[in-house]
Amino acid sequence: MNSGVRTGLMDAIAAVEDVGGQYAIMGGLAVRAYGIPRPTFDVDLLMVLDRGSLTELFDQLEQRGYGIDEPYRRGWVDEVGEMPLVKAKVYLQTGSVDLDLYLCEGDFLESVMRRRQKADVEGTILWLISPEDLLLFKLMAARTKDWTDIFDVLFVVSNLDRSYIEHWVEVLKLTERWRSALEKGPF
Amino acid sequence: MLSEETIQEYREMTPGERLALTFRALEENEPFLAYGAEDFVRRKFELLRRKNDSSNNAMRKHFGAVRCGEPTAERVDWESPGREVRRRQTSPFDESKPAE
Repeated sequence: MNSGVRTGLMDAIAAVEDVGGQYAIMGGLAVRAYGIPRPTFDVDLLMVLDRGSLTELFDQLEQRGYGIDEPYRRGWVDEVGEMPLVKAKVYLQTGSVDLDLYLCEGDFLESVMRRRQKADVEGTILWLISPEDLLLFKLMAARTKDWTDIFDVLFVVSNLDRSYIEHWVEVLKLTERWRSALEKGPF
Repeated sequence: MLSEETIQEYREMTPGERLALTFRALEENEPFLAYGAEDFVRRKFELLRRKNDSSNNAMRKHFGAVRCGEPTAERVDWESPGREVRRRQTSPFDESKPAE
């Protein structure tokens, strides 16, 4: 059993770096870093890693006490939506939460990784996706909860690069959603 | 509902400071996941997993449609976030970089 989500995240980061990869925290934890801090069990990493190194990554994670489901162990990668994903399980006292590991492939995800930002978390340097890219991911998801996250980020963060967002809004066909965020957003 | 002072404090923090607060809140909340009968606890974890998967699937579905040149749900499925949207006095954008 691992001692919590934070430890799970830190162990996963160490495992990715040990096999020569790079990472950026995305998902719920990035939302909290750029919005209103509150608990989340949504642990997602974007990682630059050759597919050939996945076995080594899984070995590292298993050595640290994490679970890898058999299909991933056998080399399966979830390719839904052309955002390749593998998962590990973080075991808590009474259950497990998924650690979602996205492979950085394709021009948008490569752009996200190039723009990742450092955050100093009590003396530990962690890499986060940028707030602009977080907004783009949330606009793609666009469920009620995602709109709340979008407004929190737009409320808290300053100095957003509007031209970058608007470039990708166009490419990712999010124009209407972005317009709606600006119309109904916190300004 | 958070007070104006608390919200202002959050805005003045760095992402790292907000993440540190999030980790602290997580550590305080994790033991509560274990409270309750076995089946209830199992369902709590299942619900967490479903929520996380739902977010990822919505995002990936849109991304995949764009990448494959398929139609996307460009219409806005707008629903109120369930509370009043907070208003800020200043722009969230870097005004030195004009919009294209």
